[in-house]
Amino acid sequence: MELIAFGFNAHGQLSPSTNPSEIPEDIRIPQIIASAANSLRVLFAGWSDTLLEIDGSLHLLGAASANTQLTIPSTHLSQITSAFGDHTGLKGVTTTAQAIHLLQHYGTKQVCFGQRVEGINDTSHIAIAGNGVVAVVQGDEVLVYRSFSAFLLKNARQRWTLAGGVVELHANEGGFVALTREYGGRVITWGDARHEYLGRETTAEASAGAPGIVDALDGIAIARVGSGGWCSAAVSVERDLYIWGGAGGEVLAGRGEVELAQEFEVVDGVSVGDGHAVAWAGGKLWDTGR
Amino acid sequence: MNTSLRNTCLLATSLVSSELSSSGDLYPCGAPILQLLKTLTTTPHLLQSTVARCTDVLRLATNKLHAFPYREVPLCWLRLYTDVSILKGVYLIQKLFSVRDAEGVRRADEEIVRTLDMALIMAAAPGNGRREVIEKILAELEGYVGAFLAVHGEEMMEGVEMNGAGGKGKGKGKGKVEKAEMNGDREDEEGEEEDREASRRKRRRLTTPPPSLLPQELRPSSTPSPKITHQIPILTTPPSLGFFQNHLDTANTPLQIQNLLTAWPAMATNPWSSPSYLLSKTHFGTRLVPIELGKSYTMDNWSQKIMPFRDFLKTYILCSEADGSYPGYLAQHSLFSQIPSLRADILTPDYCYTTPPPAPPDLRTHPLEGPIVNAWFGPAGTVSPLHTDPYTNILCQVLGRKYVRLYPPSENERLFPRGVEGGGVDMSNTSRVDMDAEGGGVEVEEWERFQGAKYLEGVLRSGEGLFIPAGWWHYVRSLDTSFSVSFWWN
Repeated sequence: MELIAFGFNAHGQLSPSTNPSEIPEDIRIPQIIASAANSLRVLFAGWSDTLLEIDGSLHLLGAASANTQLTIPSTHLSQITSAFGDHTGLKGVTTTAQAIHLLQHYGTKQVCFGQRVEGINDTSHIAIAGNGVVAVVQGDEVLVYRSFSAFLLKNARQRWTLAGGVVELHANEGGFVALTREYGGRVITWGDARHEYLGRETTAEASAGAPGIVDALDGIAIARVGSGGWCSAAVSVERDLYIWGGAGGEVLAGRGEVELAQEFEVVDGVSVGDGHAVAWAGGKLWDTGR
Repeated sequence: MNTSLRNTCLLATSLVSSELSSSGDLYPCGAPILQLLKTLTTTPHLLQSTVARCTDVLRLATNKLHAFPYREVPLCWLRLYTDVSILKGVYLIQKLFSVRDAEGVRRADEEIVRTLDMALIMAAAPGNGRREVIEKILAELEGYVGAFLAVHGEEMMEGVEMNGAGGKGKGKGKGKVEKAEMNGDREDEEGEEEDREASRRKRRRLTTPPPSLLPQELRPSSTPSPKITHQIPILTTPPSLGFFQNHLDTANTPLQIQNLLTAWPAMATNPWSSPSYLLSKTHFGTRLVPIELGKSYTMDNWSQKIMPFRDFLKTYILCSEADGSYPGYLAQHSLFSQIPSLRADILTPDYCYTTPPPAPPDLRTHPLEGPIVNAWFGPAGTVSPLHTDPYTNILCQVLGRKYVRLYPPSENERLFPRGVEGGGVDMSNTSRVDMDAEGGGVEVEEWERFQGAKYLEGVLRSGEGLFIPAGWWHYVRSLDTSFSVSFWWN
């Protein structure tokens, strides 16, 4: 199995540079950056770090590993379910034991995951938005924290129960997108009121700050969601791709409206970055946006 | 000129890099960003990728500027945006020094101005000495480019094509300018480019006025002034400070003061009525300004766009075919802190140092240290819908006529203030009554109540000032191309 990467590489997070004092070049032509015999997962692809699991061992690239590639011990961790971070880099991982382990730095080249964070044993998803707000799925509730520190101090700002339980949780610059199990897969969004990117009308009753259903997709069973920058996307069980959002001039879909991406025939998955989205099906990969 | 600009660039770079290890302000940006920035300041010889990396960091910083409400953006992002913009500007200037053709120099100059102006407009350039160094760079850059173009036989950028489609803005939400939106059109506005041989022979100089496509003067329109029935009290000469303070303490009602601006350079010696003068004060018209597009901020199709001053002048002021229903207005902009040399053309009225009574309770705001000065420059037909401000205001009219209608705070109930609207914007300082719409755009009963409200009105003319007490509703419509300066204080 091979991992192909292209794009922003200023921190060496895709391919470390040979000269550590120089800024690595971006990867403009897709190139193989890793290969595995049995399993390969991309756990985290942030602005400055990448966390890979290659044949069961963890590899960290980017700023956190000082523009090199480090292997991180993981024997004390249960299997990792997701990784989370922000502009400061990878912060931690969640595991099948519903535990959280935080990334710890010792000097410039020593990095590892600490022991599970005390008192947190029911967290299945965690996401950090661009404005620092943290959303966490704990049990059957979604809790929102003003900051990551507030989360560690268990100082929740808001909490809601999302019917059906959460399958996926993604953050973008100002808010969150969640996929619940209701009705075969329902999309919920919430966040900053200002930029019409929640895919739904916001009113006094259905305010932007509380989870609301993306009505345009109501009734359509959704299999996967993605979100990044000011855009979000959903892939239906029928393998259609829907996109909404975009602030300022870079709009992938109508402002506030959810659009069916006509140019893709069938889609299995989607990932959304800042102003662009990548979709895939079978052996094909498409991108849209800037 | 060259040496001076180089030195200022060195100063700018050291300002930024010295801060990287010491300042706590940038710390929340996180180690990866700071590390990247540090590398950028220490390996500038790789110019091509350095500029690109600055742009990458700016993209992240721009996202952060949008991720928070305008007043809540953490300082670290404003500082980052500013410092990286300065670095990028410096590296672009280094590239500029190796450009040998006039067109290339102009384009490079535009990009540098755009980069530095965005720091001023989007982030207000916080940080020790940042504003000053940006101003210095821009002034010296202007000198460098002007000298270069003179030597290469180019005209100053005066000519502005009169024909050509005006660019219309793209629709966006309400709220303060949040995002940079460039007017993509860069039409060749100058005269033909001459080859060097011809230029050496002809020796065109800055002092020889080129056959300009610009009008000499922004003239008034032929629109007649509306009939005035409830004239704002007029004072034919500016009153004394004592009189004014006493007026604030007693009646505190609007006054239209004639002959207020006679000493302003903007009126005569440095005429703002001259498009070529305005272009000369805005770095050949390349300085960026935020423009409001659309008839009124209460409408759905209203938006904001940042564009070079000369594009605004050409598209929205000089173009006679400009769409009257979709005007562009350089409104409520701190032009004089962005371009301090224009400050020299105006004089703060002494009245701004008087003590007004407190604003009505619902409008109270924090005390200002000094007056807030805003520029308002637009074509005939711009409208500021009926609204209040929490500050005492003197609206100084430099160029053109403006029709103004004023309602006292006691009439609040007849003016139907709006509430919090879509996108969480508090519009309670704006009336639901649309003075340009049939029946005010409100219910019949509401329109009747509104018609019963007592008001004052007047046509503010060039050279006059209008005193508007805090909390008084005002509606303003320009009758000609108009340039006003407002002074807010409390």
